[in-house]
Amino acid sequence: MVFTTAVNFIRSRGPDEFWRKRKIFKLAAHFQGRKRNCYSITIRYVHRALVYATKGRKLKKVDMANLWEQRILSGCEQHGVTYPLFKESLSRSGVMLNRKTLADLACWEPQSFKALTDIAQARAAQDGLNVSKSLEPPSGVVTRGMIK
Amino acid sequence: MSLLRQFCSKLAPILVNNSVRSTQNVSAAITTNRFFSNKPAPYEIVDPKIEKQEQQDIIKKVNEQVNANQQGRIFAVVHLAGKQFKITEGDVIVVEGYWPPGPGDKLKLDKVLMVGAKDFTLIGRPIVEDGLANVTATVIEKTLSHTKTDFKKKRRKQYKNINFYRIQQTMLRINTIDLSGKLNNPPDVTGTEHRIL
Amino acid sequence: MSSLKRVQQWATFARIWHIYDASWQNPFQSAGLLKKYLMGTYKPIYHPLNDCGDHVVVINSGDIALPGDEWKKRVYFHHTGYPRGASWTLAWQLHKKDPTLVLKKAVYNSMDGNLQRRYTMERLHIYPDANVPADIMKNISNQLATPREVPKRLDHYSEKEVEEFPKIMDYPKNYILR
Repeated sequence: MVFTTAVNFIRSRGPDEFWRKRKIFKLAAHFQGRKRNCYSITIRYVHRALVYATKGRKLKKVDMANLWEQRILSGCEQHGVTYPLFKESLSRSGVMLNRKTLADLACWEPQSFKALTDIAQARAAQDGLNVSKSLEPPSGVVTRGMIK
Repeated sequence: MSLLRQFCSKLAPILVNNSVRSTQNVSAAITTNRFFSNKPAPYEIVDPKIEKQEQQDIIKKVNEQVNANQQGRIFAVVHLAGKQFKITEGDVIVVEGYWPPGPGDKLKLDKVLMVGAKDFTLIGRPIVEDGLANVTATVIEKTLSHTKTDFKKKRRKQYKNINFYRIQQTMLRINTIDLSGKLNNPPDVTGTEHRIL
Repeated sequence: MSSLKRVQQWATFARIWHIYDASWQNPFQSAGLLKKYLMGTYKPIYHPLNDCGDHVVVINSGDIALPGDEWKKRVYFHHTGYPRGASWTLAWQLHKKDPTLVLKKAVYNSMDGNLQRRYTMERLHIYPDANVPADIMKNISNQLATPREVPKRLDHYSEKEVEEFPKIMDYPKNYILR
């Protein structure tokens, strides 16, 4: 019930009822069938949609966090470092990149991400962390004097 | 790039010999060390002189590239208003929430966590050396987000609550990212006492 | 876009064909591994809406090894939808009927039940033995490492190797081997 012509304005009954319903109908403009035309049905579906929108705003953050984890994990896997070891070594080395950034790097800057995994591996080896899962130690990382 | 590398993996044993069913173990073609626990603890004897030289060489190479302006397009990771942004020149980033700078303000973003170019990446611990990377930005717009509806409802419980809110947003244009200082050449630290890092 | 960048783009999003030898492998452990390649979660470019899954060709699915007494105890349930349409099939019976089904169901069940699952399964090609059609074989460019090593059976050692294997003692001449 989205009015496009002035004729429809005249048809509307009481002023208050019309504008109150119109607010809801505007939100339901993209619904299908009676969900957008019959008020008593519309209001139900608009309420439901708004509840979903409120919940979805929180879920979006969770989903993004999961995606970052997944991307970092796969990036680590490619270079033979486990995720916990990677995080631990980076924090030991004072690299304070967060998960969002690390995921961005894994996806868009694979070379820089590899540099990070190399540093993590070198640091882990230096500190005697459990590197047993690593496939092979990185070559060409000059760390002594730079890390620590 | 790392995905590209996967194409190069060899498959000779399978492609040559198709009848691998009986005793032949196809996985033997992949030489991975399964028994990691047998691996000795890593150690190496390093000549400090040679290593110092290696470090110097790397630093020299990067410095040369920066001086010749051959580093290509640079990206940086900056820490701004509690969030990290991966940015490059010309980007617009959105800072959400209350943030004092107003439109037209020119800013120098100090907390640079990482700078990456075509052939090298400088990783800060946690931030790169003061004065090495120069990231400048301009506040181009202060606005509010679209109206977000916070609607709660419980069925059959006579509970309904609706709230509307808009978040303050500050649009920030990244003007320049350049490496101005020299690598591994920390300046004398003065005048940074007032800074909260 | 330069030609190098263009090729890089193709290569990044190209589907890779992997081969996996399932002989002596636990299908449920394998499922977790194969899922990763089928969905593309092993790539840093992964996104649920980004169609980046790979093909996996599984060979020798007839030779899978179930843990413990799962061949006897694992039951697959099916219901036709009609009254009294329920049926329970033991794993060994199912395997006898179709040697690819145990692995296929293991992979299918390891994934979340969303709209993408059936399309992801289309990229899994299972063969009960090593006879893979040539048109599929020609695509393969990578081999997946198996989580378990295939043990070598005694009858696959040569006579000479068995002979030369160090012994602690010889049986006495009059000892009767039962």
